[in-house]
Amino acid sequence: MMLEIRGVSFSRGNFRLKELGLNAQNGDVVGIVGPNGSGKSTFLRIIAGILKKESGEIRYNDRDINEYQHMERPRIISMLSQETPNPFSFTVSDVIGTAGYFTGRPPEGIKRSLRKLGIENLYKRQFSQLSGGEKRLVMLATLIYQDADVCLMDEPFSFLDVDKSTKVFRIVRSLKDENKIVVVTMHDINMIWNLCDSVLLMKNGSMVASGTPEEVINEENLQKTYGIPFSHYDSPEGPRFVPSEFLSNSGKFSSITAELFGKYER
Amino acid sequence: MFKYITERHILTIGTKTKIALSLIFLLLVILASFFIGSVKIPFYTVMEIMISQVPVLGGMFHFHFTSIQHEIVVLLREPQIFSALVIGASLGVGGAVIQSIFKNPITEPYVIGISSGAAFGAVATIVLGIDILGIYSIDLMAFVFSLVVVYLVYFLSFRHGKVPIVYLLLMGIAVSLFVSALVAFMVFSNVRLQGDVFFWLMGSLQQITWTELGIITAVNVLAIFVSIIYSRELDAIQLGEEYAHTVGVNVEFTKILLISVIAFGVSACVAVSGLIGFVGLIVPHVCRLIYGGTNRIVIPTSAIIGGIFLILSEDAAHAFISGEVIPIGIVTSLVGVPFFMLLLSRLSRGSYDA
Repeated sequence: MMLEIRGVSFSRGNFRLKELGLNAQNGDVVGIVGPNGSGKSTFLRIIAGILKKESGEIRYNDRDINEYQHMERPRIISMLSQETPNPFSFTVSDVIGTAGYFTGRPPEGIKRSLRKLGIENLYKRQFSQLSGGEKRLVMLATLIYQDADVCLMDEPFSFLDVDKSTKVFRIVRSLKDENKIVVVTMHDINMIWNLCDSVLLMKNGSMVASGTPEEVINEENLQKTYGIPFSHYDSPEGPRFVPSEFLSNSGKFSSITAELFGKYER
Repeated sequence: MFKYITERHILTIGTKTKIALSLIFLLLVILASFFIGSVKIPFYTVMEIMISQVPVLGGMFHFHFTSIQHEIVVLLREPQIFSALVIGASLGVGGAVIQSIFKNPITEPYVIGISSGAAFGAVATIVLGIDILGIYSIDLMAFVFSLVVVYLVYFLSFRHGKVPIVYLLLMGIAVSLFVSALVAFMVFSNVRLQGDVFFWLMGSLQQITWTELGIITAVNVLAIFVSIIYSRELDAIQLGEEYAHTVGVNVEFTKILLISVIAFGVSACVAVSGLIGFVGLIVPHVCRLIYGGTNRIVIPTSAIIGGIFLILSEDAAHAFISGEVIPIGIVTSLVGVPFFMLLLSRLSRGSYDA
């Protein structure tokens, strides 16, 4: 399996994506990182075929993605969107079932995908009654059930508690073990080291840098991407990058906290 | 008596049993409705008249009914009851489909311009005295203009080769208001005809002929059939159009196909009956509350419940004031709203929380 994306451009109004690309083979996890509004979600939507690119190519196994039949595509590409749907009277199993309607996945897979996330107790629950985090996990279960070769995930870690985001982390790892290609947008710069084989840093619809985490994640690139200074410290799991003002002894952060605490003391 | 309609009673019955019971109830309602009206006709006579209509069987017996009884049953009650069934089913299914496409519980088939377009066609025919198809002129004009407005709304909503749902909804409301203003202007400038127009707008099943019934049945059987076939696509669309796309739904094709069949079906009904409100909005919710589940269940049951609801409303329209028939559009809301409120409070199980 091979996903090759070259020179993808797109524009709508003032918003532009310029010459984006990435390469991934089976078992690769690609992270896309950048500020809000930098075009990460739009890029994923273009890969998923929801939005039409203006130029460039998206090739899967040496065939242009548009050459695949409409019915083949859900077997190739699946996507976890940021939005949580709000269907009227669906149970959790109804929601997940929709992902297998057109790919002919067996209904037993619905329970299996919930079990992978440790939430099979939700099987018969009304979807609308779940908490926000549970809904996100159920939508992730639809992606597992769909069982496509390429899994696009738009900020799967956002809005989740530590337990649930660990579950998502575990699922991304297990998709990797199943030799799928995972493209994931995220905001946690430090999780990249533990999760991703390659990284694409984006800003204002353009690529800032791409490559392995070691090549890409450094003070200079992060400052270019986010416009604020970064520092790093070493940990057993590799370097950890944080905005400089968060580090103690660097002046600003501590002064802000001092100010806050000072107010409370008074 | 309301306390017996509790969650437990209704929920412990399986979905298939519930649907079977609903079908039996529908048959009983149809049968019972033959006996409601200002002229009392005995049970036996109604049965005789119905058997006499069956092609081969009808010739085998000697019947004892008067020609007036025969006329009342065959030319008045049968078209009214069966048109109530078809129109109720059409509006119910239309509501279920449109609510799924718009992912919005307060939409109904009329929001895409069906009602205002049909009203424009009908009122223009009445006011301008247009005569192109004899007594069916109003039907034809209402049907044509209803579809004209629906497709106008649809094509005005195109953005970047797609029809975003929010545009469609807003455009539908905007165009409907504009067309309604034209209707109001026509009515305003022809005070003499306000009575005729008023009764058309209220909705009525009194004047429906067998020809009209045949046409709306054919169109709506097709519309409901297509909606049931596409219920899985609708389920996916309800979870978001982008999601539907990634699981393999041709979203834009599904939308235009379903909006078209619903527009044809509901327009045909509105053309012969006038505007009957409330059914398309409420019936799908009633089905979601009673049966729950996906569109595979909600769409067919919306046809059943819609039919039952409109037949009962027609009965009530006859029964409220003896010798007088209230326009059915008034009854649907008078009878339906309290019932719906009861159901919502008893059965929602939190499905509508959020």
